[in-house]
Amino acid sequence: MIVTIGIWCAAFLTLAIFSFLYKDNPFYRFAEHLFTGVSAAYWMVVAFWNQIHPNLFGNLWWPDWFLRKWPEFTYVLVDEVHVGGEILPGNALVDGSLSPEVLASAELVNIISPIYYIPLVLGILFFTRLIPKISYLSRWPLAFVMGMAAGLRLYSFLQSNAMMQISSTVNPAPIMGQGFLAWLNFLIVAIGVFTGLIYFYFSKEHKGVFGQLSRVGVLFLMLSFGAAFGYTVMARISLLLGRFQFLGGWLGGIFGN
Amino acid sequence: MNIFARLNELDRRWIFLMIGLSVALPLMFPFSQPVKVSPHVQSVYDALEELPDGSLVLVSFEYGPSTMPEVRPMAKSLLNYLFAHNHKIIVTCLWPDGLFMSREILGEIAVDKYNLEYGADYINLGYKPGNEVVINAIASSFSVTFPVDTRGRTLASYPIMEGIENLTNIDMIFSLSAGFPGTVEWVQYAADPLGIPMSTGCTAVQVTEVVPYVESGQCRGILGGLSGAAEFEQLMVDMGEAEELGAANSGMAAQGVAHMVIVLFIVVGNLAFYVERRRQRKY
Repeated sequence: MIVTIGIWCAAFLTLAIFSFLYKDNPFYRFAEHLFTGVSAAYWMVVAFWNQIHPNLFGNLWWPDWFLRKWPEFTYVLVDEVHVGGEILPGNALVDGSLSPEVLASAELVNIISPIYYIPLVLGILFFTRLIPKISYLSRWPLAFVMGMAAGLRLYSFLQSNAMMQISSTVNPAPIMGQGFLAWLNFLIVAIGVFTGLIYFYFSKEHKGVFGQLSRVGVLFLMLSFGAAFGYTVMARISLLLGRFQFLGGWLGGIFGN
Repeated sequence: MNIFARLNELDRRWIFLMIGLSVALPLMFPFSQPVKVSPHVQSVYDALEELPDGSLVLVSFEYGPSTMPEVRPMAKSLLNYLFAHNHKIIVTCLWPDGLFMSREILGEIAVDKYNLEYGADYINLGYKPGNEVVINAIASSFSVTFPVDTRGRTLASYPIMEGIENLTNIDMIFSLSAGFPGTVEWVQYAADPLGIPMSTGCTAVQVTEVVPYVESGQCRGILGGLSGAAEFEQLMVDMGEAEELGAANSGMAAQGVAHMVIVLFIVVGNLAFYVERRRQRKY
């Protein structure tokens, strides 16, 4: 029954969204606002339960009575449940394997890491933006995030996107002994990269031979945009196809195929 | 008003209707569309073929319901192939939606079709937030990054994880990707630094972003969008790995007709624009 209601809701919302193609209308508005609200709530819940709750709260100290009071909320915070010399994972609090009497006498172990109080403080500092007098403090966690992301990504980006890509563009070793088409492909890629780079070199005026090479670079850029557009069209048609297949299944269910 | 002027002022709803019909009609009256296997898809198959039976493959689910029509058919073909060759699978999800996608497809293929044992033949480590940081972390340790699997048990309690410490113990990575984090991050943080063979199946939108890694050999082939999935299905049938074509092929006729209609509109639209501009300059 629940599944049937879900399918009818999904079909109604799909048709409501499609109705915008004719013109703006209340059904579309309803579906749009519902989607926005549900998405925001969904991502907030996912972020809280999957990110903040286990990664931050799970490493902080909590009083024993608190951990026992709401097991459905706190079992992620508990790392181990010690019962009669046996060590069980934290979800033993809620998986039904232990009776309430046994749980009452069990020892709940929450392994805490003091270092996690640093991200807690940094996280709270983000909210200082709401207080104009101390809003500058929100720059500290932002600086940390920027620095961490730059440090983490710099090496891998240089290695995978710069060094290895340059190497495969200019090094003909992998196509040695291969046919004419492989060499032609190698040549086209090399010319495309070289002229494309020239187009993005702005310290010299794009005139004469330099300008001609730059125009060749533009052609290669246009080709890549065209390829990207073609693939995007394919992706969007696939999504439309998915919706039509769903609607077909829904109508088939009503009219018996 | 001549025909070109009329075309320039054509109500765009006619275009929507034509595109809708071009997708709906081939679905209602299906016809077969020949599918030719491209070198990129062949490379994926070759990379899989090089794995000895019983290899350990990490399959990462990075797609959600919105991209299911494109990525699910390739995920289904891939898992069918891997399980048929007795490969062991570790599933990770860098997208929260990926967890639901992986559960649904593992239930259909690993449980219903192959009747495999969870924890011995495959394991689902679930979703972990952190994007590329998660990849970086499992490069050091699975058990630290994923203390428990989706069933809440420690990884050490499963036979499939015996002796498996980190990504270097994996024989191949396969990313089923629909965006960030996805294929690009697996290349940057796992395949390249650790030298692990990797392949991917991704949405069509991502293809132009991922192909440079494929051309340079950093990624072994690519299943790009619905057409990539259809080619892989065709290859599976041609090589005797599958008995019949799947969902991707059934959508290719609609895809082909829709593309023809779009190309037609682009050509006619441009023609009308240039003719009308010339006419206006003339007067």
